[in-house]
Amino acid sequence: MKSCVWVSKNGRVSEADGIQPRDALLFATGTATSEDLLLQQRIAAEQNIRLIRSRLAEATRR
Amino acid sequence: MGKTKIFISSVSEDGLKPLRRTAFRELESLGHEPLMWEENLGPWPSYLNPVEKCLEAVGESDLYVLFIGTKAGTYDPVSGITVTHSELISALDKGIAALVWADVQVKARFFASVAYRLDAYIDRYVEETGQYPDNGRLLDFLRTCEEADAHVDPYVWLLLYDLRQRGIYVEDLAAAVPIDWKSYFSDLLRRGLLLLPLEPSIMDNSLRLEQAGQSFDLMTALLPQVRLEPPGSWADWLATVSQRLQGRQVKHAYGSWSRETVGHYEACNGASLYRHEGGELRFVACCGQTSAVRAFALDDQSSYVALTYGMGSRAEGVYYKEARQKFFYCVRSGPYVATFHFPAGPSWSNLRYMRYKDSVNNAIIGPNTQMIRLVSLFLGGMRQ
Repeated sequence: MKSCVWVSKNGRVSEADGIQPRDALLFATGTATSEDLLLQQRIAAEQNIRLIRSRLAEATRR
Repeated sequence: MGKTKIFISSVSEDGLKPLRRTAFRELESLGHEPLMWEENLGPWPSYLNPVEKCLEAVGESDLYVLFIGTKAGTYDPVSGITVTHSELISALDKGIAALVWADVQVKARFFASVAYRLDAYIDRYVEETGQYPDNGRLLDFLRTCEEADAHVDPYVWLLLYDLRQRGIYVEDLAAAVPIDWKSYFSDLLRRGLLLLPLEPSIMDNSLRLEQAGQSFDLMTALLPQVRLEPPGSWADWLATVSQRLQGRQVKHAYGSWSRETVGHYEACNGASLYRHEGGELRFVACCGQTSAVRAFALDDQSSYVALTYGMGSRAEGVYYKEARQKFFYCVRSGPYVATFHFPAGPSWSNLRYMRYKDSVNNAIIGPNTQMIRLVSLFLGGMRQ
């Protein structure tokens, strides 16, 4: 999902477009959640472990 | 005993042919197994794609050697890269060590001027469009760039630029100076010998990492099954979490390899906790540099607490306020909303946040994913 920026100003939320006042509150939706990132990190860690083990096995095989 | 397979890559240009031939012979005489198109790779039957076969050979090699002259070789307009470049990417992607040489004059011109012209062009393009220029645009720019010598194919500069971005050292390639392969391999042997004896430690660490992951999984499976008593001091509880939330750089990725630091945020200096009660979000506790607001109405659209609560029972989000120059990371779990406050570095503004929102989000959440999961599970498990 493409992320989108929203702005809260004068007590109302709308899609942020163009210059916003300094006291506006900005936030985005559609960005990665902690669960998305945790899953990505776990997959990457598992791949790294597999690569390191296979390389070490190859490197120490006689 | 296994021989070291060395893939020799370069564009098939006349100036590099003697060098490639000499390299092949020398590597062979040193007891290695060089792989090179003209010598022992291909030709393959017509139904096989030679590029794919070359990439396969790259993947089977132990070392990737690249010579860069003035020619770029075959450019694939669909992928936007040359065959030689795709061999390099394939080698690096598979974690294969690379040794790279470039024509001494081309390299000197690149690092003296072309690289900076490319930097400036890319910065300007990103500033104007918010996107990283594709290779087609970069090649168009290089064709008009005065510093980029006309006798050098524009893609050669892009290849060198990619190598610089990846931090790969490029050796000088001069016609009259032979490559001292023995020295290179002695250095590679030294580096390998530093790492090989560490095998037991590396294996231990990988095992512990797996065990830590399994323990975390067990904890996240068990926590939802229990009910917890609220802590004696919520402020101490918040401080325990917020003290562990460090400041970091915000890096923006352009494609798979190019990354730019676009700002930073400082360590968490305040946190607060609110709880849904009596039709409003009531203040529970805070710590650090933050002030308490007694309660927020559920429909208060000016409050990041109420906005997060309204997004769902496991919502979370990063907010930015230029007037306070802070990022606020908010996480809801059941009736609770916890907020963690990070001073934003001086480079941040509303416009900059809008441009780099995904990178800000990933920079704040990414390093703290496990902690956030635990905070969420603990809050969700509190006895009401």
